[in-house]
Amino acid sequence: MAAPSVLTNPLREGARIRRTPQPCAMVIFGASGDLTARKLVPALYHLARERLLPPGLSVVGCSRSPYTHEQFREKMRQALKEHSRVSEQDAPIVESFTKNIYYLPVDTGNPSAYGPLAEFLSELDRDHGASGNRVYYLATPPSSFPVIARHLGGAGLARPGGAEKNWARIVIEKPFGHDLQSARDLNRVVTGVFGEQNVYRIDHYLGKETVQNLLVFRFANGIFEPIWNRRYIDHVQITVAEDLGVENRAAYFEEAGLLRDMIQSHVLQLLSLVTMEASARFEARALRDEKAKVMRCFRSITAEEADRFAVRGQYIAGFVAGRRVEAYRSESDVDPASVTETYAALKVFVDNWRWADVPFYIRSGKRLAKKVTEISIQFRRVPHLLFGNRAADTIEPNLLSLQIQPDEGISLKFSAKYPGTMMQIRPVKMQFQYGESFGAEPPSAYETLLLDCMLGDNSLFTRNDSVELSWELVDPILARWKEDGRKGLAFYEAGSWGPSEADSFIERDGRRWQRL
Amino acid sequence: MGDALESLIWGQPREANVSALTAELDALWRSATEDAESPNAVIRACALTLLVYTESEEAGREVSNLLGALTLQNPCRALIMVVRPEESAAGLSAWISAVCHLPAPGEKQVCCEHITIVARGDAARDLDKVVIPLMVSGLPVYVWWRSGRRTQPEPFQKIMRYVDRVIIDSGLFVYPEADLTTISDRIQRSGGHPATNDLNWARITPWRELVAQCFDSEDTRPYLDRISEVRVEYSERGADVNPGLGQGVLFTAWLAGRLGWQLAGRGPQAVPPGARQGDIAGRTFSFKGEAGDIGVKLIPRREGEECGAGFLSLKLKAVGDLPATFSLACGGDRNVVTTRTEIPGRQPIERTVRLEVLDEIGLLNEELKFSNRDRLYEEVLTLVALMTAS
Repeated sequence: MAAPSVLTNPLREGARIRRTPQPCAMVIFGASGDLTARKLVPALYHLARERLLPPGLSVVGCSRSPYTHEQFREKMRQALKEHSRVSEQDAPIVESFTKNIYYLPVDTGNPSAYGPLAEFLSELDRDHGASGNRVYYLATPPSSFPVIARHLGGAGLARPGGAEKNWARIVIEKPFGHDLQSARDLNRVVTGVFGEQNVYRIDHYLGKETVQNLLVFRFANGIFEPIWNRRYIDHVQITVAEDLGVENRAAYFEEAGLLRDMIQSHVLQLLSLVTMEASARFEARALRDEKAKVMRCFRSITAEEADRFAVRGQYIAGFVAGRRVEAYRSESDVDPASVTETYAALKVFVDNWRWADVPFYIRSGKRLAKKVTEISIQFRRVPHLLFGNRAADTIEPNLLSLQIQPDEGISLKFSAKYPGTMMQIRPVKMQFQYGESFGAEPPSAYETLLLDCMLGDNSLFTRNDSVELSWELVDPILARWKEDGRKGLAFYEAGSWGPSEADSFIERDGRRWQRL
Repeated sequence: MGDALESLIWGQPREANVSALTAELDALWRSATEDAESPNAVIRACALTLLVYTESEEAGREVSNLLGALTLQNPCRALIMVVRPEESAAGLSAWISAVCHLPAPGEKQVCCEHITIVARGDAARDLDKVVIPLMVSGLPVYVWWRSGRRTQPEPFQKIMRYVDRVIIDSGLFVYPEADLTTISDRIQRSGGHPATNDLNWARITPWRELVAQCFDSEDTRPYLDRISEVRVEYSERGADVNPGLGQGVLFTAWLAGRLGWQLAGRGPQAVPPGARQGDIAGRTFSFKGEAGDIGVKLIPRREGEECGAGFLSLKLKAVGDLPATFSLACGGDRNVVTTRTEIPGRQPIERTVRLEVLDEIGLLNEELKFSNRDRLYEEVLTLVALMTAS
């Protein structure tokens, strides 16, 4: 992808050397939290270790906790030991990396706390040659997003120096709002301060190598795109299943529910990648335009239609991976009479020339039979069966499966003649597995996304229109579910593939969920 | 799984009939895939054909031992050719085996084919007739030229018609400057087909990357136009081959090409201060840039074993109102390098990062990540030819 930040350096022209960002300061709000220790600092360390970060990069942790620089560095050293692969040999690298980590206690709700931050960042600019370039990472509760954005703007930190050559970017974690209106409000504040091109809404799902490969698969291979349409495709299923429950996120999940937590964000983004048109260039704006364009074609589901187009469920006690697990309602921090959905299935139509009348079945849930994310493209049956009825019974439609996780790969099911004198037809599978063809370890999603952000490449980040369009689709369903309360909530045993109502939901259309 | 296959999977080569190698391989794999549900089940994986050219059985054995690490990242049909035309007794012999690895516990073993062909005496002339049919259809064919020889023997030229890419290691060349010039001529004559890659060029990629990073900042970028002095120290431990000198020449040509320097001269060979008898002299080059003269010194050092075969340190000095120095030095541990930017009136910016010293297979794996021509390398070779023309 284009890397405008480094094009002026002639030593980079024509070279196979990797993209590295300009020197900058990364400010992490909520730095005392889990995300910083588990994901952000380990990801930054790996990037630094692999020479993917610039000299002069500094990391500034901010939160209410009263750490000194050295105490915070020690905490981060500890985090690296626990959450990344650090060997004895890496000691000088860890030392060099953590030397550039700083800490500043900041009460994010207090506007006067941002003055000292501005001064501190200026000092770092002078000492590290960061030229006023900044990334603000909000690893805080969502309610703080607009507050921090406003105060950063108020302190002049959102447009450092006011010069075009300096940049300030803000990274926010999902959820981007809890409904359409709150998403619009958040977008208004954050884009008002930083400008949309500098807002990076991070969805770690989109940083996964196999999700990116979906675009390569579709647009770098000539044979699939001609049949990627209503003429050849019967329907598409997207499954994002987890065997885990809500773990330590029960309080958040109780409020959010599965539709907000998974479908509004990850799954609809996957759907847009499956259905979008090819962009003119592999470049952020063009890609995001195409994604938004197709999302505008997602057929609205009214609250009245919600029963016909959506199913929700909640897990009861059961067995997962041979272990007895309790019901959702028995989890700590969950209301014993909770009606929060832990499973949701949707039928979505994309009303355009390519996809008219092709149903897209989406399902996602907690405590399902196994952890798997897969996109299954089922092709239409052959128009005429020439092998007689007996053989025809065993002819299954072609199925293209894109396995996103865990065993990343692509498989194509087709029919073959069973050897012998009789005409017996069996489905066979042609399989490509990443692990077999490429032994190289991909970077973690956070490494990919943090680096992209510092490089100014927002292709894999969600744009405001996409966020709002996805809320437009799910909002009426959420409203209906809220109104219905307990009514319509199906239950499923933990360790199963979801409620039987979800099976009936797809079987009504003469189809079945793929066995995964 | 049959005994024959099982022993192959454990890496034991089996002598095979040269005239029926494809059939022998097919038969073996068929027996493996018939037993797909067995816990010992295997998958045959192949993304390219890799032809390895060697000139001694010892070199062939070395390559065989390295293949596991290569096929882990780049599943391929590996065909090691041991070419011995000088032997009086003519003959072609072949061995087949498999290189396998387990991607994850409980999964099937992923196996790649490994064929060794030894061509002795006049039989070396028929090598192409054995090798060409063994190229896997529809997949790219790469040659790993694991020899210090820079010219190809005649039968190999027939093979080259079907090859997409040749990977050489100019670090093995005894006279790197002259030999790189020969490679440059050949690339120009062939129009770049097959593409040429050089493991010795790949060895300095991390150094080039780190040097480029020094000038990404808008504060330091202007210094790039005012470089006056470049000093490269490389490890030279008196072996027959000089990877460090070749790297230094390639690095200099890269800088000169990217920064538009014009060659002004090739100075007397630089003898390092404190040199002992028998020390090898380095090289000096002078260039003219927009901001004046630039002197480049390539200095061999006896010490520095811990940094591997290559650069020990780089220093770039830039003139101006505030002269600056950008230095990179291999650390006490061979896995790290420390970079330092010094500009008067500012705190030096220093950091330590990993600098993996890759072995041949590591470098080869890196090269195989790219499938396109490395035009920059080709440009650099053209400049090397100019710089080293006598």
